[in-house]
Amino acid sequence: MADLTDEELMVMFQQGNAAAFERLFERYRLPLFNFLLRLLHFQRESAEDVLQEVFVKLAKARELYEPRSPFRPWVYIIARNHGLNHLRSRAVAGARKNISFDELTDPTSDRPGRELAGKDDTFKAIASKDEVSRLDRIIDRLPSPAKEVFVLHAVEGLPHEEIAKVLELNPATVRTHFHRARAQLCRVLAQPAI
Amino acid sequence: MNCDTYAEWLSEQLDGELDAEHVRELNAHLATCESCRETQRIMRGLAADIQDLPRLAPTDRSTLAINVAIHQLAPKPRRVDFGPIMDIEELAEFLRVPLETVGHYLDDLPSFELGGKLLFRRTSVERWIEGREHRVQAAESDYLCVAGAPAISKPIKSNG
Repeated sequence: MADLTDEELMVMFQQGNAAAFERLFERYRLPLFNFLLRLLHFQRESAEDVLQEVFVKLAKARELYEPRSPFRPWVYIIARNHGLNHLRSRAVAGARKNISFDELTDPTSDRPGRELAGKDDTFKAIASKDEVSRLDRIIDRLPSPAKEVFVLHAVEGLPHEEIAKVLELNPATVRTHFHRARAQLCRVLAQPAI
Repeated sequence: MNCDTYAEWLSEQLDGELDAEHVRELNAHLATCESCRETQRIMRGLAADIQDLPRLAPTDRSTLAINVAIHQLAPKPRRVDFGPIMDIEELAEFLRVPLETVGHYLDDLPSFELGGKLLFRRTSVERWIEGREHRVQAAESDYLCVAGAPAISKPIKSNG
């Protein structure tokens, strides 16, 4: 089963082979979890919850998968949508506590909302500081969608054309976002760490 | 032109996407700008730095929950190994129709009762299917005989 493509495995799952989907889960468990961690500002438990939602969704929506279309962009589209929905629901919860969405999601913010996001059970534990490197903290500060483009291309290895499908952007626009993100990142890294 | 733009050009150059004219302008700038030379040095090593980023894994608890969900949600494999005698659930699976549909045709389907259980002989069911196929084909021929009539099959009502 190791030499089968993602698309072949998904078709096998559509026909009732649970082991084929287990194989897909093994292939995508780490890439999707690390993508979600970065999308969700290293909120570890949130990323775990969303990862679970994504695989449940994939299993339930198996009949919607069109075997001739590439599997990987489809998976990342579902993961990104669930991740963004999670951020939105956190923003709603934050609004009830008079915390703005920006304060909750802006990693550069020193406002109490950011602290609350770490302390309140609603927002789950943030990955420990040792696990989040300086490079990752700078990536986290990149504006969207440049951050997602950078993570998907430089970290997860997706080609620009696939990222264009995931983000519903033109491939040329994806390229522009990528170069801008990499430039910004290296300019910040060139400055001495505080 | 500022250093932010030159940094973007450095990125394009690294991926072979910068044209010769811009490369010349960039090189002229690099010769005089220490900050951009440092950005270039960092950019060249960035891919290796990204490779070294820690790859975090979901917890075992979360992985187990997903595996359980996969098995609960997996479609049942289609059965093909039916024996000579089938009960009503097996018949529904054999015919690939919901159990309720079998219920609608119970008076028509060949069956026998044993120990209070309704059973179906596979060969008799296959003959019943063939009979239905012949009736559908005959009905289609009747339709085609009528000039200009649409060649669609008419649902056949069982004669009992």
